[in-house]
Amino acid sequence: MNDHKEIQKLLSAYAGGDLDPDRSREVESHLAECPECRAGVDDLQALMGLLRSVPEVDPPPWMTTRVIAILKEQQAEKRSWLRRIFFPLHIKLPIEVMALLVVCVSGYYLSRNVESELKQQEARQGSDIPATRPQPMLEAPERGKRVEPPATVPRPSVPLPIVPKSADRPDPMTSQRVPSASPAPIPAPPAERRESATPAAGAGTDSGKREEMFASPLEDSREMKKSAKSPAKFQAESLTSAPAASLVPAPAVPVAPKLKVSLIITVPETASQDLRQAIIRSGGTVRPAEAKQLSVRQITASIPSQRLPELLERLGHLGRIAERPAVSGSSGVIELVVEW
Amino acid sequence: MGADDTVLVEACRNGDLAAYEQLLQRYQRMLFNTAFRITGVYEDACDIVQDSLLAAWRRFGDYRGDARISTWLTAIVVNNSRNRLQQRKKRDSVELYSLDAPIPAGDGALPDPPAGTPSALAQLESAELHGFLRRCIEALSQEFREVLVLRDMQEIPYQEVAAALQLREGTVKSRLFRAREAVRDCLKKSAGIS
Repeated sequence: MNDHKEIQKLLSAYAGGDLDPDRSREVESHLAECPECRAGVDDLQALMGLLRSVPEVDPPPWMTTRVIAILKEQQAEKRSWLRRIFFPLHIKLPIEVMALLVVCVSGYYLSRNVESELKQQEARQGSDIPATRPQPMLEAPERGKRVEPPATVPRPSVPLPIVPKSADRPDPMTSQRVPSASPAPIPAPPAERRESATPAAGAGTDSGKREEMFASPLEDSREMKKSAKSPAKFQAESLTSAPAASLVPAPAVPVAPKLKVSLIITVPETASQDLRQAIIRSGGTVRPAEAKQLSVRQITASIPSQRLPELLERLGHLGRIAERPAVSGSSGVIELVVEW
Repeated sequence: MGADDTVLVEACRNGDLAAYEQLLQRYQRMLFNTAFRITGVYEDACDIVQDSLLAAWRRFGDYRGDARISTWLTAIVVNNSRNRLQQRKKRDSVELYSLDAPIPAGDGALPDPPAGTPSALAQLESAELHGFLRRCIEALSQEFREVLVLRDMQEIPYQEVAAALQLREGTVKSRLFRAREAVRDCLKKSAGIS
């Protein structure tokens, strides 16, 4: 009986073939005598066959794919963390930003240059184009007649009043392009309108300085590039000063010796501008101021000799003429120095 | 461990996901069936295997190469299966089949006691037997079920079962023999043929 209980404990190992040969022989001899144990072994062997015959289930087809995808995503995140730590700026970002900056900056400067060139062009053309709106203070310009007024030009019988500058009045200096015989108001070009929309933009500027600024178109553009002023201010200044550029070229006619006019000005604050205005209205051109003239209060101008009396008359309205040049009947251009 | 496995494992250690994919394709079926037979729930097996494979990749540095890579992966799957069973047990606190409790028949009546007739199990239809077998395996306690599944169903050698479960070989055999007898008796009770 003891043998039977001991053998029963070994039946499972025997059925699985896990007993050593001696133990196996011992079990087999018992099985030959014990039908109960033999039945037990048969059942165990049937069970083991059953266990091994259980069909396997298929894992879901996405199993491996999903696991690998998750791992790849985790690797990418890990790499991105490392990059954030060691490469805070992604290499593509600075390149894109730099490209954008280059495009923006070059576009800005290009538009600025084009705009300024257009303004200059307009200003140059504007000196030849008649004004659009009536300007009682001014004589309407006449295309093509800039320096040499015709001999038949009727002179205004009444001298124009000197109007003090104010902020809400267009600068007559800037509005007047070319002296003309026709008093009729003629529409001004768009540049002129804009000019008058920004009155007295250059009113406060020193005339000599302004003339220096527009000594030549090249200097003009250089000055514009160098200038740190706002485009609007710069534009206003360039517009107000544009006529001066047209006055710069000296006439290609014989120039007589310099004459001198000394004035005792009633309103010294606007004297420089008023004098220039008077010279221009009288058909003269103002020379760019020299360095010494800036301190001496002196203007050098060229004027047709026929119109010298007219100029003197205008100067007489500005103040008392202390030194009056002799008026000669000769034709040509007179070099005139006006002091005050 | 086969030569191929060695090469793949080395590549995996160097972060080669393609090599890991090859390993998974080779062993995922065995791992999945292990998890499924221990837990008895397909969805649980999916989660367990997926988590195990992700964990294995992260812990490849821990694999020393003493056992086959399949054994190492199996150990992770078994461990995760245990955790899942414990969670499930806590969650629904449904009592598993007890080896000592009577096995209810389909109509709710208790089955007849085992008759002791030789080869009684062979008299049952295969499909019916598989149903009973599944329930009897589920009725086993966890430690017995693990050895039965690994040795008798997955046919993993004793040595590797012992390595995967971190047990001595003798302990594995002891548990296995007891598990076989328990399932045999359970089947006879279930079928009412013993």
